Amino acid sequence: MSIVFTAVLIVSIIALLFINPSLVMSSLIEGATKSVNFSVLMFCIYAIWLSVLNIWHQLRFDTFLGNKLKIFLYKLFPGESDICYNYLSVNLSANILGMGSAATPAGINAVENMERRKNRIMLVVINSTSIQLIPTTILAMRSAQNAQHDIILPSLICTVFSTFLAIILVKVFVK
Amino acid sequence: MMYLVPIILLTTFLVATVKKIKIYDSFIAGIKESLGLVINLLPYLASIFMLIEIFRVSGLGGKLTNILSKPMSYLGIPKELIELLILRPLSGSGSLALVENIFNEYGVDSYVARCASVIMASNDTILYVVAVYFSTSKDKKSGAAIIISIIASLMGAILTCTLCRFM
Repeated sequence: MSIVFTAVLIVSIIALLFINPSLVMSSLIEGATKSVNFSVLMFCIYAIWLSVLNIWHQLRFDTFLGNKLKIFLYKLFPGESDICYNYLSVNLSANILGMGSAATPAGINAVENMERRKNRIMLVVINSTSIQLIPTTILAMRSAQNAQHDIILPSLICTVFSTFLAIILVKVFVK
Repeated sequence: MMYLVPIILLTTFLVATVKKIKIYDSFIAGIKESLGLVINLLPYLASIFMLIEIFRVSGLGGKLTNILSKPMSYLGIPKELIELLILRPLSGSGSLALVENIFNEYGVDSYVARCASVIMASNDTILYVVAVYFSTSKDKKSGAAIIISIIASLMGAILTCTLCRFM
């Protein structure tokens, strides 16, 4: 990210020197201003959802879902230890519920305890194609702007599609 | 589906009440957590918003979009979404920033904004996930994972742009 950032920044400044040098500072300040407004919105969204996730965690909703998922885990990640399956169930159930901060440590532990390369790639691919059922952040951003259209159903279809496709690709192409 | 989120919230609070979970305390804890999260996030947001702004104003954003608009149009992806597709796997906060820009520019209910919402919702920050998950692994060969994730999410984006035409 650092290289991309520096390169884009330098090239943009050089381009602006030819167009209008005074835009360099003003556009950077404009960007920083927008980021503060956006952070306020993010705070509001997280304030609601992290509280709800907190309650779900106390209700042991994530553990319950994790146990239901275990049947699929044996098929998706064959030949791993029990410890690994426990981490996997925590990782995937937390991700489905949108608890990213709980999912990541469990995911790292699962990868560390994995024997097979194919399983490691499977886990990373499932995580990086997103399996969150309700896109809470985007939904809240949309309702902050009084959106009329609903995007839950198309999001769900596309999430399921890309994750399934990724699983098939790993099963077929990774040795 | 409009009722989905309110019903989820209501059910959660009702069940929590029955199970004697302190909802008010959970909210205070959640809000404290979100304050920390946003403060950690702000440096990333500020830097990427600055970069997006200067990249746009310099006219380079438009040039890049023009170069890629032809191949993307064959895939049914509108050119307004190209920047988002490039940034989505690289930076989560950066792509959220772009989605917010798209909402403001085209209107939250426009076709482009709906596509952007679905792309944002149905993908994750691939390079970040790969880097973090492989960080402590014995075997660091993550190339296959990156390629497969990117192919799957590009296919997902094509499906998104088709679905959003009539959904």
